[in-house]
Amino acid sequence: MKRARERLVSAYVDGEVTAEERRQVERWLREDPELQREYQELLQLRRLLRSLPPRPAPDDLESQVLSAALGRVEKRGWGRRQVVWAGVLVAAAAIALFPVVRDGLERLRASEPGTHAYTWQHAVHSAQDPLVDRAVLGVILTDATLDLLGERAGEEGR
Amino acid sequence: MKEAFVLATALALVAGGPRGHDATTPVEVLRKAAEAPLRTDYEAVQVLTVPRAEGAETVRVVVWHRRPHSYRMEFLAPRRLAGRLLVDDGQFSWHYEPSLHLLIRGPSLALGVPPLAGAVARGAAVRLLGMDVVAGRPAYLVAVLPASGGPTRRLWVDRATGLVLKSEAWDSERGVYLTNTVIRVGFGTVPEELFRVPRYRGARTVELSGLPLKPDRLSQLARAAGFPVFAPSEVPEGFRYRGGGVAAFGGSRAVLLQYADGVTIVSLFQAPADRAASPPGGVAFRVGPVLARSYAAGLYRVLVWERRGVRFGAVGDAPVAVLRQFVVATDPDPSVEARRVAEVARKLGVPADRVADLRDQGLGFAQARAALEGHGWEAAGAPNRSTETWSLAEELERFVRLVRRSTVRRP
Repeated sequence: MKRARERLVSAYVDGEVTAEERRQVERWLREDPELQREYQELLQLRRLLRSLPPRPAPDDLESQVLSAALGRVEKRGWGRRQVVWAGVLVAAAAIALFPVVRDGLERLRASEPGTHAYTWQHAVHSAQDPLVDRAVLGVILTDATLDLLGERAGEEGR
Repeated sequence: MKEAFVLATALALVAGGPRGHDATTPVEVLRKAAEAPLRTDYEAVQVLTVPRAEGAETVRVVVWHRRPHSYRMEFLAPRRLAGRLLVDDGQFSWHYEPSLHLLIRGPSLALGVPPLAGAVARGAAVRLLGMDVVAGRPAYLVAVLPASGGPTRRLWVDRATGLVLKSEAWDSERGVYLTNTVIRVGFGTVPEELFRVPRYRGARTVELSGLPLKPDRLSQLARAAGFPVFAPSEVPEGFRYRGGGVAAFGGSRAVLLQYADGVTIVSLFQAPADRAASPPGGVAFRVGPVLARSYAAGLYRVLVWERRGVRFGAVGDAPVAVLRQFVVATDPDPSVEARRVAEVARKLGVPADRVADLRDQGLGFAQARAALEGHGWEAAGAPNRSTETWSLAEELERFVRLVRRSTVRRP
C-alpha cells in the first residue's frame, strides 16, 4: 500500500496523474507528514536534476564498450562463429522489438518538457500583443511559472 | 451556448445599434483600447473566469497600472490563490507565492512591446455592436471576428479612457471560455512605490529568464539554435510570422516562432526529436501521415507531434482546428521545400532565391506568391482585413456562418 502511494506521488510530481488521482494525492499529502516529506525530497531531486548541465559522452565511449565486451567474450573462449551467430540473434531481436522500445528509448534519451514548458514560453511572449488581457495573463503566467518549477500553490504553510 | 452567444450579440446589435453614439469607428475604438495602458493610470477590481483542467475557475484580483508598463496584481480569491502577488516594474516581473514563501523573478511582460500602429486586429472583422455600461461607466461594445476561425472576442471599451472594462472570448469548440469583468475602477495617479517588491525575509528566490522575440530570419534562428528551422508551408488565414527566438526548453533548447492575426497568437516550437520527447498523456490523433497529441492546458491548447526527426509543438488559445493547420503545414523535408520553392519561382517567372528569401522571413507559400505578384504579402496573410461594416444583416450572417462552421470543424 505504501509502495503504491509512493508510486502515485512520484507520478504526481511528474504531472502524470488524472484529476481524481491528483485530488487523492493532495489529500494524502495533507494528512501524512511522512509522505509530505518524501514528496518534498522528490521535488528537490527533480529541481537538482533539472539544474545539472548536460555532459556529452566521450567520443571513444562506443569503442571502449565494444572492446570491453569483445575482450570478455574472448576470455570465455567463444569461437568466432559463435560470436557472429550471437550478433545475428541480437540484431534480429533488436529489429523485432524496435517498435516496442522506440518510445521508451526516446524518452530515456531526450529531455521531457511537460506542457508547462510550452505554456510558460507562450504566455511570456504573448505579453507583447497589444490587445492581450494583462489580468488574464497574470493568472495564466503565475500558474505556469509554478508548474515549471514543480511547485503547487496552497500546499505549504496552510 | 453557441445559440446564446449569437442571440446575445444579435440582441446587442438590435438594442444598442451603433448609430446612437458618437461617430467613432470600430477600429478606432480598438486602437484606443490598445493604447489605453500608455495613457492611463488606474486601480481596478476584476473578476475573471478562466478555464482549468477541472473546469472553469473564478478568480478575483485587484490591479494597479501606472503608465507606461508598471503593473501590480494581488489575488483576492479563491483561497488557494489569495495573497499571490505579481509586480511588473517594466524591467522584471516579480511573483510572490505566499503559501510556498517563494519569490520568482521573471522577464517583464513589457519586454519587446511592438509598435501599436497597424498591429490591432489585422486579419479580423471588427464590429461596433453598440453601447453598454460596465462598472457604472459608458462603454463601446466591440466584436472582433478573426478570419482564421480563431477565438471571437467581445470587448467593452471605456468610452472616456479606452480601458477594456470587460472582455469575453468565444470559440466554436468551447463556447464562452474566458471572461474578465472590471467591477470597480478608479483613475488617477498611482504611486510608484506600489511597483517595488517588498522584502520577504527568508523567502526562497528563483530567477527565470526569457528573451524578447525578434523578427529574425529563420536562418538566423537556426544558426543561434544549432539545428535547422522550418517555416510552415502555409499559415491559417490572417496569420503572419511576427518573430522568433531560441528558448530554454526542459533540459534542452527549442526555437520558438510566433504567428499572430492581431487577435490570437500561436507559438510554434521546434527542436530535434531526440532532444525533446513528447509530454506524457494527451489525446493522440492523426493528421494525414502525422501522429499528433493534443493537451488541454487550461486556457491554452498544446499540440505536439514529430515529423522527420523534428519535434513540433503548437500552442495558443486558438481552437484545435486552427492549431491543426500548423500540423498539416510542417514538413521538414529540404527536398519538399526546394521543390515547392522551384514551383512557385517557375510559375511567377522569378529567381528561386527570391522565393527562398521570403520563406526565410517566415512567409507561407501563398504569402510569398502574393508578395512576388505585387499584392504585398500582408494582403495574402489578411484577405479580410479589418472592416467596419455596420450592417445588421451582414453581422447576423457572419455569426450564422461561424456557428455552421463550428458544427463541421469540431475535432
